Amino acid sequence: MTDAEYASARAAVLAGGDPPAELMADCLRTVRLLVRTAGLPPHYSPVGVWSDEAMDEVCADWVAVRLVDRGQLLAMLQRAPALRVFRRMAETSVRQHLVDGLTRSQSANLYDRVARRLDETERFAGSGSGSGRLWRLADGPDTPFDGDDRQLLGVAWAMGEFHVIRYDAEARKLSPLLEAEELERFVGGLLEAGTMTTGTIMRALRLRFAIEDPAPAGELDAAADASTRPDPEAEVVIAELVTATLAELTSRQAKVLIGIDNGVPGRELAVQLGCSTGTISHERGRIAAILARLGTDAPEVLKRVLDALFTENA
Amino acid sequence: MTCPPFTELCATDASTRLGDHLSGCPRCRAIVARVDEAEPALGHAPTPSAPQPAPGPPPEPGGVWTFWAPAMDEYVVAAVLESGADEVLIMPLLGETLWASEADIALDPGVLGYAALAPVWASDRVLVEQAVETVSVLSEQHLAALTAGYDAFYAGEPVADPGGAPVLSDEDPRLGAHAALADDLRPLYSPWSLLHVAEELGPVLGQRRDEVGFELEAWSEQLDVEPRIWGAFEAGEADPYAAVPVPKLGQAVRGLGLLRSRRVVELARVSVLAHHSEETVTAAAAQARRRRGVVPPRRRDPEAARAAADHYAAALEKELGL
Repeated sequence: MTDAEYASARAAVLAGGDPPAELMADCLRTVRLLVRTAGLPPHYSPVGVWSDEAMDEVCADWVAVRLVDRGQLLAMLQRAPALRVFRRMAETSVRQHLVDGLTRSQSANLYDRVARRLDETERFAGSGSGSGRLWRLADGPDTPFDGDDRQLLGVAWAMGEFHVIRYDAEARKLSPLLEAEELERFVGGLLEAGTMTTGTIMRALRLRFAIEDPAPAGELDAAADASTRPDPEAEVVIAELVTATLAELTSRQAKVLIGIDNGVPGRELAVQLGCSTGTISHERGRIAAILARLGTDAPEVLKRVLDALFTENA
Repeated sequence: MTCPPFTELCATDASTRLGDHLSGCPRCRAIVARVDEAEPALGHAPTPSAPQPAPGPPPEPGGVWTFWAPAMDEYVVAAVLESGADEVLIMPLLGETLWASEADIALDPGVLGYAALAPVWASDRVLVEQAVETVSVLSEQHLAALTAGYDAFYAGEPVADPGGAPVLSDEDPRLGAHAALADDLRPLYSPWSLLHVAEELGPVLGQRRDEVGFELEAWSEQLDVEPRIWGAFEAGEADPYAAVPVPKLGQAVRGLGLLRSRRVVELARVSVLAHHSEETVTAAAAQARRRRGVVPPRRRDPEAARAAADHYAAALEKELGL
């Protein structure tokens, strides 16, 4: 697609027309190129590896759910005056679509984990039975939390950042959304606002982490079993993850990462980058989230990402 | 700094074609060094230029427009809350709704065709020249909701029916996300704010020259205007009509990276109005005074000043291509 063709397609859609086939073809081209150039890590694939089938599945799902159903194609076209800007937005959009899918797929065993932690941890105490059983902090308030969803979400946000993790590619489908300590911190923080049922705690988790109801476990397991992920040389895998991680970082995040590694204080880094300290804090959180999704590969990938940034920065 | 698409960084001629960007972006340099440059050559990397304004009426309250700024390669979609001759009050409409708080208003997909978030706290003014095209029109009900939200927020009152949960702690990551958004929107609002540091053009240009670090002597020499005269103009003490030729003023506006806009023209008009003076006494009267040893004060003729200001403004408007 040329710049002129893009301008024409953009004008047509903004005027209320259907997106031309060439525009949709360019979207699919973007996804394929991203995969072929290692711009998307293999664990973002719904089957853990970037086969042709996985790529087709992702393209179809992304176009149907995000671009069409949610109207994101229109949103991107409005904001992208030029083809290169549109392509950059398409890359971000498909990556975000895959990350969201990763988060959703990891919620299957969350309810059990929350229930087990409430049962097994001494700092939590329960009263009542069944689905109405109320949980509280052993040394916390015993009045029921009576806020609505908005207030519940406010309490959940107030606990700060939580890192969504993945242990390794093979365990991807059944891995927990949060590490055990993080999950306990989340539940404990909620119960400081009042006693709650397990259902209310799950509701808070869903609201805070934008988790949809889990798909049937059998379907998830079948998808995991269907993985045809080969066992490539670890070195190749790590190299691809480094490229994919660099692709996922923004320019500002890369500079924050360099600053952190150089021990530059947040305030000074903000001055250097011409932004606020709040922005530095936000970017640190986004970087941590990207690395957390790498699971056990994160330390090695981070080291090599920094090597790559410093080499090119020298 | 916004980066090119990842796939452009894989082009065979990425290192040369994207050189300007790569020189300031460690992330993209690292990617170019790693990828195998297997994609077709870019040929050329178009330099973004000011878009042509859409034909038709200017922004009106209730319109949803795209807005641009010289330092941004993406447009910002925003609702127009108020409009004037040279400026517009806007509220951005974001496609990303994750960070919604009690100071945001959610718009359901029926309004724009996708779920959007109006960050009330991020509303501000832009120059009317930054409006590119209209993409939608809000219903009276939605415009009233956004306007009421704006009024409430700036009166320190809660926004009715907010789009997100309240921020209850400094640990809330939405605070950082909002700070990042504010930083990202700063280039959109800076063309307006750069032109509102003073009410005359000279002091506005002077402050901008200081910001970009140009010395008065060198800058005056570049413009071919005497430093004493340019200094007086920047200090708000000289009449540009008499002291600064219009082409030099156009050169200064462009050279300092200010947006060519009606606001610039209006500031110039005010400068002339404030400082234009003319000898209006008759020769005979002047002779009589001289005999008495009286030096007459320079007299201002409001009509002459207005005519000079209009003439100068019209010439500057033409010079700036407005």
